[in-house]
Amino acid sequence: MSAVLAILKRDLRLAFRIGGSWILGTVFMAVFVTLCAIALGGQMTELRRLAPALLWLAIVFSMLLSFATVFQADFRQGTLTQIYLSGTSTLTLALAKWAAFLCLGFLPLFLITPIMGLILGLSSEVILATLLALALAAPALAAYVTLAGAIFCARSGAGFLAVLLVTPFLVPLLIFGLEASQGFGMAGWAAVELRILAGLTLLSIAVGIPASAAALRVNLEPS
Amino acid sequence: MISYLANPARFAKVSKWLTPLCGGLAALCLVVGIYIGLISSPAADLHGEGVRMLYVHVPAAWCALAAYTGLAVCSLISFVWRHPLADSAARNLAVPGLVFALLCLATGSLWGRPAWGTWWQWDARMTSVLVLAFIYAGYILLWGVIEDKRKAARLASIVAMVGFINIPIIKFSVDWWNTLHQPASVSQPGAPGMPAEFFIPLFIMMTGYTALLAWCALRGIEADLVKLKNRRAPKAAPATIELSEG
Repeated sequence: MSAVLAILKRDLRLAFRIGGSWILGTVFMAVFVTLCAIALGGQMTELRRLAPALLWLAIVFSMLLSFATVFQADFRQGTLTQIYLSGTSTLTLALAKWAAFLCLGFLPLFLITPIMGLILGLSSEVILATLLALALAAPALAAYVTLAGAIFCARSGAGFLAVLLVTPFLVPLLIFGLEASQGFGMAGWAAVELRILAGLTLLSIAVGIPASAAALRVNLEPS
Repeated sequence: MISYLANPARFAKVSKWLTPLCGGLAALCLVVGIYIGLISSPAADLHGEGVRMLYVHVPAAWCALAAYTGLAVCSLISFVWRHPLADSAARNLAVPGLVFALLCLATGSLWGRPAWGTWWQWDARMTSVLVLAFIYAGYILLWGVIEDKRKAARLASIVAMVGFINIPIIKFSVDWWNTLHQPASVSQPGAPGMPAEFFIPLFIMMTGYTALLAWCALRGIEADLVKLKNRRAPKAAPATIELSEG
C-alpha cells in the first residue's frame, strides 16, 4: 500500500513539474466537442439531444488516446524495470499507475465537462447526472486504458490497435453510462442503471488491473 | 487429455487421422446439408423461402462463438502452463472465428432484408456479433504487431481471457439497450422448438460447419508444428553438387 502511494505521489509530482501534458487531453476534448457541434450543424435543439453522448465519446476517446502516457515513458527510461527489480509486484505498479491515470488522465476532463455541457446547451440537471455517471464509470475506463498501456508499453505507435483492442470492453460502460445518467434524471438514486453501472465498474477493475499486472510482467521480464 | 496432447509428437499422431476425418466430415455434411436445406426441405409459413438462410446463418453464429470459447480455453492453458501448442491452437482458431463472425453478419444482413425490410439494424445480437468480430480483429492484429512471438503469445492470451469475461457482459448490455431479433428457437427448454424438417438440415449444417472449423484449426496447428521442426532441424548444406545422370 505504501508503495502504491509512493509511486502515485511520484507520478503526480512529475506531472506537475513537467506540466502541460495532462492538459492535452482537455484540449483534445474541447476540440472534439467543437468539431462535433460544427459537423452537426450547430443547432442548439439538436445538440442538446445529442450532448450527453458527445460528452461521453469525447471523454472515452481522450482517455483512450492517452493510453501511452500510463507506462511508456517510464518503460523507456528503465524506471519501470528498476521499480520492478526492487521487489515491487506488478500488481502494485498497475494499481498505482491506474490511480495516477485517474488523477491525471480523467480528473481534468471531468472538471471541464460542465463547461462543455454548457456550450452544448445542457441544463444543470442533465450535467449533474452526466457527471455522476462519468464519476461512476471512470475507474473502469481507467482500468482498461491501463491494460492497453501495459500491453503496448514496449511498443510505440500502436495507437489504433490499442483503441481497437480496448473499445469492445468499453461498450457496456458506454451503454450503461448513458442509461444511468438518463435513469438518474427520471428516478434519482433509485435508478437500476446506476447500480448496474457501479457493478460493471467493480467488475472491470477486478478484471482490468490484474490483467494489466500480468501484461506488465510479460513486458518487464526478459524473454 | 490436455497433458496427453501437449506432446507435439503425440499430437501429430492424433491429428494425422483426426484432421482428414474432420475435413471429410465437413465436406460430406456441407454437401448433404446444402442439398437438404436449399432444395428438398419445405419453406416455412412465416419466413417463406427465406428460412433457407437459417441453415447458413445459425451455424456461422454458433461457430463464431465456439471458436472464441476454444480460443479462450487454449489461452488459459497457454497462460498457465505456457505451452506453445496451446498458443498455436488459440492463434489458429482466431482467423476462422473472425471469418465465421463476418459470415454470420453477412448472411444475417441478407436475411434481414426480406424478414425485417432492412439490411442492418442496431439490434442486440447483430451488435454483439459485430463487437465479437472487433475482438477477433484486435486479437489477430496483436499477434501480428508484437515481434517477440513468445511475448505476443502471452499478451494475446491475456487479451483473449479479458475478452471472454467481457463477452457475456457485452451481450447483456446490448440486450438491455435494444432488442429486435427473434429469441433463440433451438434450445428453449419445454418449448416445442423447431419442427424436424427444419431441425435436421440445421443439425447437419451445424455439424458440417463445426467440422470445418476444427479442420481449419488443426491444419493451422500442423503447419505451425512443421515450421517449428524446420527451424530446429540442422541446416546441412550438401558439400557436393549431385549431378543427375542422363
